[in-house]
Formats: sequence, structure tokens, C-alpha cells
Amino acid sequence: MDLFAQLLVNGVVAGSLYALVACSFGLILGTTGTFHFAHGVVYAAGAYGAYFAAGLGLPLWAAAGVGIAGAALLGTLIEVVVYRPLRRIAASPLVILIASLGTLIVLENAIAIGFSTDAKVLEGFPRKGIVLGGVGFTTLHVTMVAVSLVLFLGLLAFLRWTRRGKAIRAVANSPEMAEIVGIDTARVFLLVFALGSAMAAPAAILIMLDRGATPDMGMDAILIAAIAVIVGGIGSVPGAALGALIIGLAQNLGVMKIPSEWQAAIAFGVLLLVVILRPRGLVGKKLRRAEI
Amino acid sequence: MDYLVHVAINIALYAILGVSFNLLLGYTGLFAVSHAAFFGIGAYASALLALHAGWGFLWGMALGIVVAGLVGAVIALPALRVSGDYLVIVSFGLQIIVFSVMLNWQDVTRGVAGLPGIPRPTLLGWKLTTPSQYLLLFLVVAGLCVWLARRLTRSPFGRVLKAIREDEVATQALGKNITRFKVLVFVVAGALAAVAGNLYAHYVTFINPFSFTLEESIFIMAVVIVGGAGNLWGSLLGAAVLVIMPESLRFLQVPPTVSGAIRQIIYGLLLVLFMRFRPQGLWGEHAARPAAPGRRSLEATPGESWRAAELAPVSTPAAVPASGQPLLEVRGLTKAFGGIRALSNLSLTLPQGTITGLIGPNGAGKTTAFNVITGFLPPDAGAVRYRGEEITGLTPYRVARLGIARSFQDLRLFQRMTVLDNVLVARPGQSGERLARALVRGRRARMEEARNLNAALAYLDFVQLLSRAHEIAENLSYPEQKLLALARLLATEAELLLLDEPTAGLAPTTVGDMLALIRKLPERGKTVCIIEHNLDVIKGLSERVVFLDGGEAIATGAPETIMADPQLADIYFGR
Repeated sequence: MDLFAQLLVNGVVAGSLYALVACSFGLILGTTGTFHFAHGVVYAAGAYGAYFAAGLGLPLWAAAGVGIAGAALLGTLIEVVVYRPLRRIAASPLVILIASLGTLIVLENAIAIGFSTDAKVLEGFPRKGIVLGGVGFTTLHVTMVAVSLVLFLGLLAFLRWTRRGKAIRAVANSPEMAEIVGIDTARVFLLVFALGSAMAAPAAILIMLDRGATPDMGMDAILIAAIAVIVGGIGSVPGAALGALIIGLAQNLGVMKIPSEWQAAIAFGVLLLVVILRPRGLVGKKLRRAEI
Repeated sequence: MDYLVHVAINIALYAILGVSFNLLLGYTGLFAVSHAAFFGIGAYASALLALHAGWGFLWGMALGIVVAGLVGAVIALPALRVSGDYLVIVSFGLQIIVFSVMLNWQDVTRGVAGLPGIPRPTLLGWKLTTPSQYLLLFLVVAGLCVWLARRLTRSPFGRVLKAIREDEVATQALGKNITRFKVLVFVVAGALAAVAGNLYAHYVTFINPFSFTLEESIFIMAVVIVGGAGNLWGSLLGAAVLVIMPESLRFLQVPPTVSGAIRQIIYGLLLVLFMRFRPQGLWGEHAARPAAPGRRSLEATPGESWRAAELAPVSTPAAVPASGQPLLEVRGLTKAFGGIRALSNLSLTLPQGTITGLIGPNGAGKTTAFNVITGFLPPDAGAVRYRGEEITGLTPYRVARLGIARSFQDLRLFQRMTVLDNVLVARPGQSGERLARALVRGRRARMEEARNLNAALAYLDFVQLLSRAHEIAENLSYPEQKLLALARLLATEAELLLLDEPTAGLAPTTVGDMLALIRKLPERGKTVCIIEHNLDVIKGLSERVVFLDGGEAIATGAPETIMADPQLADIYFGR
């Protein structure tokens, strides 16, 4: 029973970090229609930005701020330099997706050249172990879940109650109609990329604080995020969070039956099950199908 | 010298992988980033056979082909439930699962340690040892693979693949079982990649999982995209360019610690730049059209000039019962989208050999009726009977094969195929759409193709597009595109034609041309149902009109009677 509880906690911790990437990826996909693979490297850049800043002697909170700001900047830069010109020539979603994958590969390897491929750990978090009812975790794990929860609820509140949040939802619903009622979709896209990038970066920074980061962390993260979004249902931010949590739990609870080296395969196993049994995802609208 | 041979071997290897992946990505439009998985399956299958069972090179190749083909079919099924972006993720999943198996199934694959000591192949008692002998083997096999792929892509099978890439819905409406084609192309592409894996395993004599990673899949994708999707020669060029370019790093004194990363950066950058500036690749699909596929087979059958082929025998219906019998009968059809009832207890009949107009205000359910009749939408209630047989709930391609063809408001032409191919692909019952027949083409298949070609040309002549036969469809003017859509519809030889606003958006003079063509259809044995907004157009076309409102047929009769009814006129004009 202790083992189960422990794995449950581990699953929630992992799932909450997945949720940050998944929600931000889902927000960008749902609003701009861009399958933003490069989001993975933006996420990784957040961690490496913080690592770089900490190396300059900044305190941890300031370094994290630098990392988050850097990620937001990189995300918007990719939107402006890569996606916007492609949209202007009415490139197909597939073309944009390939360009995004290319961007991911270029930047991931640039990070590898800049920082080497060894795992880098960000030091300085006052980490304490806690044992509660036979389940062990650390203050860092608590921070992970708390940060994730705050950002998730903050995003929902922002989308629901603020003027800009409403503009984002309007564009997600129908870019053409949003244009007609006077919303500047290009600016909304920028906002979404900045927001999404800033939301993903903390997850990478927290991982760097915990077990360290490698330049290819982004590829794994974006695959998990994409799976979570499809499992949850495209176009739904809570759905993405739910999908992320399910994958986190499945991977960790799976350890009871399946050796841990199969974790990556487990995530895709969940995906295949959902695709076969419930192709519209758990929460969201229908999967995009050829419309008549 | 050995170095150059090694580079050449690599080019041949990636030529096979590129050509096979091109079948998926370039020809069928299936974006599945899992090709390295098939490559790896082929390599492991033949290596294990050689090491444990002492099987030779060719047997290993055969087993690799079978296993990869099976895996291709197995993964194709879930993968094909989703399309576009989602297929990418599912295929990533396959890639990672296969990689996990290679890495973690220690008992069989030995994990990271890999499989060393794979014997060099022996062919007909001749053991290959030197690099040049290998190069010869690679070239021969690569040549065979390219020949096979080329044969496939130039067959009726390949034509359907391209049609699927261009428009799945329209392809189904032509009576093609697109799932079958997609599964088969996955199987073929997987099998060819397995051939490459077999060659590779016996060449390097040591394999481990890291040769078959996601990065490798992306590299194969880059070969196809840089070379040019939809053109097999492009993949050969792409393989050469992408293998040679990073080799130059060796001479630039790049430190080995970063050369791998720089190599990746080059591939990534190429992907981004090509998407932005040259999405068709270096040697794209329509870069050169030396021999339009039709023209050549036309020359191959002298004495069978298309003009000799009369339209009439081609389009004679199987049986012509007394005209006026209901060919199609719709009873109580109901269909709701959420709270909106698009069809509400719709009943109508289409008598054989007549033209029936379907009119009504916007949102009356006219197109929905077509969608339900042709199987694209399942009805909530009601039944559709064709020739007295219940056809409710059949899949679109089965409905189409029974002889019901439909056009689309937005045409759904196969934009990047030639005008002629648009019509050719619509021909029913092509034996060359079967995989085996596509590869092994005898005299009969050639004759059949020639007959289909004749028919296609005749239909193009009928709509007066013959002079444009070798043009790419997207280069046609809008009126020409509408005519092409009609020719494609007729080429299905369907007896019942459902036309969705064939005159919308046309100038008055071209409307006249289109109507003249449609008017000729009943005398060719066709039964026509036409959605039309313009009442004057209907008046000149048919003696029978069904008036739809709120998803219900509220009146049926001669156009004049319908128009004279003030109540209907009020509904129609929204008064």
C-alpha cells in the first residue's frame, strides 16, 4: 500500500509538470492552429536561460525570472521569424509542422553546443525531505505541484475573465470572426506564444533543480505534451491538464507491473488506447477529421 | 578510395529509405515519422536470423520484409484513425515503442550492447568481402527498389495514392476504399525500409538501437523533403545531397564533439529553409513532366485511337428498366447536429432517367441530404433504398460502387494531379488498383489501362477540356474546374448523379454550357438530382422539383407549379 501511495504521489508530481507543457502547447495549438513542436526547445531554453543567469551570480529567483523571460522571448521570436512568414504564404499545416520540427532540431543542438550534452543541475533550492504517512517527497516536489496548480488556475482565470483572455478564446473559436469584430489576430498570436512559452519554462527549471536537464529534454517533453493534448481532447486546456495527469500516473503506477525503462512506451500506449477507443479525446471536441 | 565507396554505399542506403518513405509522405500524404523503426525491424530480423539460425542473407531479407510489413499493417490501423498532425504523434509513438523494444528486450536484442558479428552475406556461393562488392550489391538492390516503387507509383494504384493525398473525401466518393490503400502503402513502405535494414546490418556487421532513433526517422524525412516529395528521383537526389553535405564537415576540421550537433543543425535548418522558400524540394513533383503518363500508354496501343471509342457503349447502363421507376427512394430521413435538425423526416424519390431539382432556402438540408444518401453522414433515422435495396449506413465507397456518384460544392478536385489523371482515377473496377496487379502488369492490364484512357479522354472531350488534358488541375480557370468535376463524376459510370450546385459561381454564358451538358445526361442512361439555387436554371432543366424547407420535402412538382405557389415563394425569398 505504501508503494502504491508513493507511486501515486510521484505520478501527481510528474503529471503536474507535464501539465504545464501540455496546457501551454494546447493553448498555442488551439488558438493559432500551429503544431508547435519547437515549444519543446523553448521549454528547454527556459531551463538553460536560468542556468546561464545563475552562472553569472544571480540569485535563484532572479535566474528563474531570466529563464522565463528568455523562453517567452524565444517563443515569440519563433512565431515572428518562422511561422508568420509561412502563414503569409498560406502554407499547409504540414509545412508549418515540418518547419517547427526543423526549428526544434536546430535550437536543441545549438543548446548542446553551447552547454554540452551533460546533464546540468541548477543548485541552490532549499530542499528538505518530508515523510508523510510512509510516503516520501521533498519541498521541491511540493513546489512543483504548487507552481503548476497556480499557473494552471491563473491561465484559466485569465482566459475567462480578462479582456485579452476573451480575445484569445474568440480567436481560438474563429479567427475570421474575431478579425471581423476588430480583434488583431496577429497580436493575439504573439500574446499566446509569449504566454505559452512563459508557462512552459518553469517546468523545465524545476526539473533542472531536481534531477538536472539535458539539451534533448524538450523533445521528450513535447511528445508527452502532444499526447496529453490528444488524450485530453484538442482545444481544451483542462483536458490537456487531465491528459498530462493521466500520463504521469500511468507511467508511475505502471512501475508496479512494468519495468521503469518502458515509461516512454507507456505514454504512447495510453495514446494508442485513447485513439482507438475514444478518438475525440476525453474532454474535448472531435478530432479534426476531413470535413464534408 | 574506400572512403568514397563508403559514402556511395550510404547514398544508396538512404536512396532506398528515401524512396520508400516518399511513397508514404510524398505520394499518399501520410506524414508518419517512424521510418527508422521499419529500417530497424528489418535490420534486427535479419541479424537475429543470421546469428541464431544461420539463415542466409536472402532469407533474412525475406523475413525482415514480412515482419516489417506486418508491423506496418498493425500500426497503420490505429494510426489511420487519425489524420494530419495526429498521425505524426501516433507515428512518433510507434517509433519510440519500437526503439524501446530494441533497447529493453535484453534477452533477444541484447539492448545497448547490440548484436555484433553479423556475418557478411553470401550470394550464390559468392561471399561479399570488399567494399566495392558491397557497393555493387547496394546499387543492385537500390535499383530494384526504385524500379518497384516507380512501377507502383505509375500504376492505377499509385494514382489512387495521389488522389488520397489530394482529397480523401473525394477519393472515397469515387468508390475507393482508402483505408485499404493506406494500409497497403504502409506495408510496402515498411517492407522496402526493411530491405535497407537487412543490407545495412550485413554491411556494418554490428547493430544497436542507436542506429534506429527518432533522429534517424527525421533524417529520412529530410531526405524526402529536400529532394522533393512526390518524385522518386527527388529522393535519390536528396539522399546524395544529405549524405555528402555533412561529410564535408570532415574536411573543415570541426571538432568531433560538436560535429554531430552541427550535422543535426544543418538538417534542421534545411527543413526550415526549404519549407519557407522551396516547399516542393529540389526536384519536385511537377518540376519536369517529360512524359505525361497518359500520352505514353496512348502511343503504346496504336490503332486504338481514343476517337474510336464512342461514349455510348462506355456509358450504357447495365439494365434499363422502364423509365420513371424510382431509382432512389428516401424515407423519413432525419439528421440532427446538436440541437439543429438538418433533416427532419425527409422523404423523396428519384425516378429513373429523369432530372430532379432540389431547391430550398439556405439551411434547408439539401447538401446534408446528399451527405446522408452517399454515406458520408449516418442518419439518425430513416432509410435510403437504391434499386429497391436498402443502402442506409453503407460506407461512402460502397455507396459509390453501387452506382451513386456525387459532386461537391467546393469541387474537391485533385489539385496537384493532371486533368487527365483526375478523370482516370475515377474509372471504376481498375484491376491495377490491386497491389499485385500494379506490380505485375501484363498485356491485359495494359489494354485495360488503354481503354480507361480512351474513356477518360472521351469524357474530357465531352466537357470540352481535351486540350487541357495534361495541365495540372489547379492551373485551370474556375469554370474549367467545374467542367473537370463533371467529367470526373461521369467517368465513374455511376447511374445516379448527385450534383451539388454545378452552376454556382459561373458567368451566365458558362452556365448555359454547363446546363447543355447536364441536359444530355438522361439520354446516356443517367438519373440526375441537382441542387440549384436559381429557379430559372431549374426551369430549363427539369420537369420535376422537390422543395426542401427545414429538412423536409414540403412540395414536389413541376417548377412552374412550385413557383406559382405564393406560400413557397414566400419561404424561398424569406418573406
